[in-house]
Order: sequence, then structure tokens, then C-alpha cells
Amino acid sequence: MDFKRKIETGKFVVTTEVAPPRGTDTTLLIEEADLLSGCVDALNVSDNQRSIMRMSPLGVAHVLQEQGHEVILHTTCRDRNRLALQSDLLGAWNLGVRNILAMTGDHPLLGDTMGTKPVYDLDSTQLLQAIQNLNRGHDIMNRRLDGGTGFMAGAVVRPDPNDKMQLLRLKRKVSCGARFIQTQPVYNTEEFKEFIEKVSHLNTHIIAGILPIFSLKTVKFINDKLPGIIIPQEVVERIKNSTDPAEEGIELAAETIKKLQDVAGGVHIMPIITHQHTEAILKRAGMLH
Amino acid sequence: MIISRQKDLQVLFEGLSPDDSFFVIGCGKCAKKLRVGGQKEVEEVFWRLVDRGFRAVGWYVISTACSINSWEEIASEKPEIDDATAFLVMACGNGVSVINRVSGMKAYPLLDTTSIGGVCDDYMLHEQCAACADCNIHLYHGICPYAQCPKGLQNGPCGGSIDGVCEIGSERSCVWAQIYEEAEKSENLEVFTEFHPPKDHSKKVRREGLIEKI
Repeated sequence: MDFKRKIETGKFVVTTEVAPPRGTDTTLLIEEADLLSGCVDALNVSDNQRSIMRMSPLGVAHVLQEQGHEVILHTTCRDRNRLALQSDLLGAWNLGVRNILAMTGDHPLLGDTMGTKPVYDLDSTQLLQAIQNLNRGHDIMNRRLDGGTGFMAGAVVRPDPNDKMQLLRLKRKVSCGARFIQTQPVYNTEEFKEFIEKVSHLNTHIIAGILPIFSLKTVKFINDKLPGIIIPQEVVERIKNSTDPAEEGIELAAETIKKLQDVAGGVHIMPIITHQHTEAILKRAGMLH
Repeated sequence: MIISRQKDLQVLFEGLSPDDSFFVIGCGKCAKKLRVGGQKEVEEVFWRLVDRGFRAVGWYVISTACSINSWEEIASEKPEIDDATAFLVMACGNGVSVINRVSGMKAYPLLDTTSIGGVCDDYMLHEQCAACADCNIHLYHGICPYAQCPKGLQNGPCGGSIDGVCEIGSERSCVWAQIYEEAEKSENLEVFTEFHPPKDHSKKVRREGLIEKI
């Protein structure tokens, strides 16, 4: 069953993320994706994540689909205006991409290419609406197209039950066509349950983000580079006191997934750098047999 | 008010030709108020030019650099202006452009124009307006997100807005947090529940390059 069908039928989904290469060599990308064969429903392909220049996710999506993987194409508003976004989406559909994750995109000031002009002609809700139009066979101006798309569109959220603005924004994303939502990393499952209770009335499929921690270096990376993600002290202590931090990280991620199994509509695993432990996490969580 | 800041004069001076004769021009409106183009700053630049060995022929603060009715009037008040071969202008880009147009002389900007803003209680307010030609600031409780959000977002904050702080730097507050505060105060959260369509950028582009009679 493909990702779209699973979302439509309310099944628990497992997704993960791969980063396009910083160059033309796709060897590592394909190796990483191969580690995930049979483990996940779809691979997210990021779009110049954190404003760091990499290969176009559309090019990567094509490579991965050739290898038999289903993809969720990240589409951000940072680098393209409404003309380019729409035309890329039409191209993506023709290349066989069926799932889109619509995002605003990190500001270029956070990235590696100083002096870049930020575009943001649309925001993520406007992009979601544009995708709805394409799905109806119309462009953003409501003019009929020679063939429309049938994308499964999704969006992202920080699952903070106390951030009223983000909750309102989520509601609007759903009303603009976000049929699945991938969240920022979850460590505090009780807080996540609170979040789910607050958004349970929304007609969408919430997929909880899992960012496994295999070392204190990962803790530092999250604290330095990913603001808003709070790692509970207990988690840090377990990694710190373990003789095998990678093994402890697998256990911690699996424990979180188990706790979320009946709460979320799926999990989205996004380790930093490599997927060498992703299969082990899913096995430990009882997701693979 | 147009917000400007002074360029690095050291770098700017390195790019000037020693063959030119310079006249320094300030602006008595925004640049003076912001203390980047009033008499004090203009005189300071003039003497720095002299110290560096450039030929500096004079200085003058025009009452409003972007609104000049007669160049002749200015020239009659400051006859030494005729000895200049280049102007160094301490005004916003508007001022430099107008001076260039009315004088027909080479004009170097000494300021970088950053935004349309204001001054309130001695505090400089940056980016109050983006001059988008499609104003809907009333929808956002008097705070323009198109001007003040670094992404110009119309439909609420991005995921990088955390605890009222903008993703591009902890010293910047998220404009959407301010809008939310105002919306809560007035018990009207419509701005967060209504969908705002993309901006119509054609309204702005249509004015570019036009010269219209007032």
C-alpha cells in the first residue's frame, strides 16, 4: 500500500528523511536509501534544508524513485516564486512524485550562501492552496490546466501544545489542504499527547518526528542548531552514562515510538547524518518483523 | 521617514578619484533626524576629506534632499558648488537620485538606505512599511508583517518563531508575536483564522519608471 493510500485509510505510517548531496555524486544517497528499503513507507527529500545549498530535491526524488523508493518531496517557498513553484510541481507530478511537504523554508541568513535574496512570494498555506488548485486542474489564477495533479499534500508543525499561534496556523494549514502533518522531534511524549488532544478535531494525519540521539555531539547539535527543541535532562543523562551511547540512542528512540504508537498517526525518523541505526530502531519498536 | 545608515567611509574614500573636486550634501529631514546627514555629520565628512588630501570645495544641508524645486536656488546660495565635479550625498537613495537628476552631476551615496520606518520616543523604528502598493495593515492590527517579518509572511509565523523570538536572531522579536498580542487584546483573532491570499505584486511594478505630474 502506498503512502497516500495509508494516509487516506488512517494507517500508521513510517517515514524518514534523506538529504540531497552537496554535489553531483549520489553514491552515498543511494546507499543510505538502500538501508531503508522495506523499512519505511516513504522517504522525505529535503529542499536546501537550513538554507544550505544541495542538489535539487526534484533531481534526488527522480534518482530515488528509479531505485524503487516512494518519496515525499519537500517544497519550500524560500527560493522560488509562484511561477516556479507551480511549474516545478507540474514537473514533479510528471516524474512520478505523488507526495509534497509544503514549507515556508528556513531564512537564507541561517544558511551557507551569504547574500542570497529570500523569495517567499508565497507562504506555506498559500502554497498548500496552490497545490489544491493544481489538484483540481487549475493554476493559482484559477485557469484550467491541460491536466492536473493528484498530490497528497502535507505540512509541518512544532508540536507545542502551548503555542497558540502555531496551533491556529496548523488549523489553517489543514483547511488549505494539509492532509498529513510531520512534526518537529518529540522527546516529551506526555506533552505530545497534550498537543494531539488539542488538534484531534482537525481532519489530518499527524506523524510524530523522531530525532534519535546517538551521542552527546547530537545533543550539542540540537541545542546549537535547532532552537525550540528541548531534550529532557533524563535523555541526556542516559546517553552520558551509557557505555554504548549508540545502543542507548536506539533504545530511547524505540521507547518513544512505542509510547507514540497509539497517539500519533505515524512516525517520521530523521537521524542526523546516517540511517545506519534506523532499521534497528524500527525493529526494537516492533515496527518490523 | 526613510531609515539610512552611514557607509564605511574608509572603504568609500578608497574608491574616490583624487582628480575630482568634492562637495558634501546633507539632508535636513530624515538623515538629519537620524544623525547621519545633518550639519554635524556633513561637516565631519568634509574635514575628513580635507585630512585625506582630497579636494573638498564645500558642504551644504539641503532642507529636503528628495524634494528640490530649483537647483539654481541651491547653487546661488552656495556658489562654490559650481567648482565641484562630484557630490557626496548624505541622504537616502531618494535624495541621491533626485540630486543626480536635478544637478546632472555625479553623486556618490554616503548612506545605505535600509527601510521606511519612523522614530518614536527617541527609538528608531525599522521596516514599518515595505511600500508594497497594496496596503492592508489594518488587518494586522496596525503592524505590517510584510514589512517586519524577514519572510514577509501573511498567514502567521513560520516554525522558526519560538517564544516570541524570530528565527534569524535572538535579538529580534517575531512580529507575529506582537500581532498576536494586539489581536488578543482586542479579542479578535480573525487575522489568524482568515486565509490571506498572496500579495499582488503587479500593483507595485506598475509605478516603476513613471514620472507623474503632481
